Amino acid sequence: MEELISVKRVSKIFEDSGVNTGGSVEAVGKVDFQVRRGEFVSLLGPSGCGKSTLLDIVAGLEPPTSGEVLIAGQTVKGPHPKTAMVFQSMSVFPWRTALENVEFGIELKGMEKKARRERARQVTQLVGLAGFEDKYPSQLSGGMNQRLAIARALALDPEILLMDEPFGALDEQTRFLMGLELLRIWEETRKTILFVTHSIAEAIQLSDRVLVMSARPSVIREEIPILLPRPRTIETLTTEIATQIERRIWDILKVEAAKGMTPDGR
Amino acid sequence: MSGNAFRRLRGDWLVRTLQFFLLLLAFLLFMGISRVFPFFPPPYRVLSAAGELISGGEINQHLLVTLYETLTGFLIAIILGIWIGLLLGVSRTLALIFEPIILSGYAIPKIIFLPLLMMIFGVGLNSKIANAALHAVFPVILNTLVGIREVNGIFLKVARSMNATRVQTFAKVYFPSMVPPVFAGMRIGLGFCFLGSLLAELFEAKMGLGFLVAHFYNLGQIAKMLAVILLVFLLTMMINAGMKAIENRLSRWRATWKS
Repeated sequence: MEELISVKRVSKIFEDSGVNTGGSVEAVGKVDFQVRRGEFVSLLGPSGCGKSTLLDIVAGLEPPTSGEVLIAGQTVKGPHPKTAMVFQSMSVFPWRTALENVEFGIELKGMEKKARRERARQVTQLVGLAGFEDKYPSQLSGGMNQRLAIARALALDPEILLMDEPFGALDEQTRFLMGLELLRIWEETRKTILFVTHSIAEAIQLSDRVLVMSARPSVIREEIPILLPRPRTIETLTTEIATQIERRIWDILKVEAAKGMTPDGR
Repeated sequence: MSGNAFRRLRGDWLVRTLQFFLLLLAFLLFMGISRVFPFFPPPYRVLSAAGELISGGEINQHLLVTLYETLTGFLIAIILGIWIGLLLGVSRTLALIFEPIILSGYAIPKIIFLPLLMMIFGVGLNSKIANAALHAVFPVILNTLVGIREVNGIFLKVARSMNATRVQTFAKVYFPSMVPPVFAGMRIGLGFCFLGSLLAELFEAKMGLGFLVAHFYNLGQIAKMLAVILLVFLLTMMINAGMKAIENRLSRWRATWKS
């Protein structure tokens, strides 16, 4: 299978940014990984480990200090047209209706109004928000706003979805159900997904592979393939194998999370 | 939802009743004062004086002059205030230099500049307009500045991740998120404008509601003076309600955002 995203020896040092550290902060240290077309890969790590920074670098929002990111063979220098980002639910624009939110990206691209309405309607339907087109985000639940954030990215018809803890603000049950929804959307659209999370359960529920990150400066500690059958259901996720995977990830993470809790972050 | 609406309605009703009783109390207090101090007219005389002022058309030209000064000053304050606020919002250097000055400008009683304004703009309407604008410009500047600074970072990141141009980012992210704070600043500013033109008229003028108050005071026609004050009060309430209505219309999406 073809490699759609290649991250090559990427590191990131923030100069002089931390009030509490005084000097420069090494957020990401020499990271290498690939994501193949159609794959669902999660970056899992303790909070503050630099995984969101790594995603920003892949998204072209942050330049790496060294190394490079290739998307479909091209070096990333800014947001790549083949990628779209999904943030937390509070990222939807409160002054736009659901449909207008979905239209945002294609509106920026200058798509003509009628075509963009139609495209937005299709995507709104795909994420299960048909009938809510004219509601404002304040009138929708957290889970629905998150569908909206996904729809806004999907409207651009990207090959790659980069998701930054998109379900982080949701309660556990909604989170699980949104995970199932995301898998359904993923299977329908065959996108490639790079997903950042700090939830082990979520990473196992969704991914083909989980890249477990270390504490700062983050490197990939271990790559764990999730060899569970799809579609993932509550049955497949509670088997002996699933539990073993979870225990294995926990063993790596508890060491790393403890490092993150010491004052100097090491 | 309907339970909520009901509660809100009942709250409204409660507030209205309280306001009514407060008004009644003020009325009684007024009656009391007018008995103790003989130069103080009883409320019914004030009301009939107000009626005369309106029906006789005596107040019309003064009302028009004050409104003209206030609204012209307001317009100038909005245009200047929003531009200055935007400039300070985009330039850290300018903000560092001018923000302390603007903050003290906000706090200072602007009426002390009136003699200066009269020297520059003359004793006519222009110095009143200038005074009104001076009163309103600071809240508009500060709210524009706050508005531009408090645009949610994640909204900007969304725009950036979709390769929005600077113009698009301003028009589609900054502008809509700035409408509520800028409008709040304008509402405060309009009140201040009214204050500015009235104060200036009290000092040196030949027309306007402020002039009229001073004029009736000098003639010893206290009932008429109080009638003008009452009318000013009502006018302010109307202006505020009007601004609030426009504000609500412009940011419909916020109606349910907080609940």
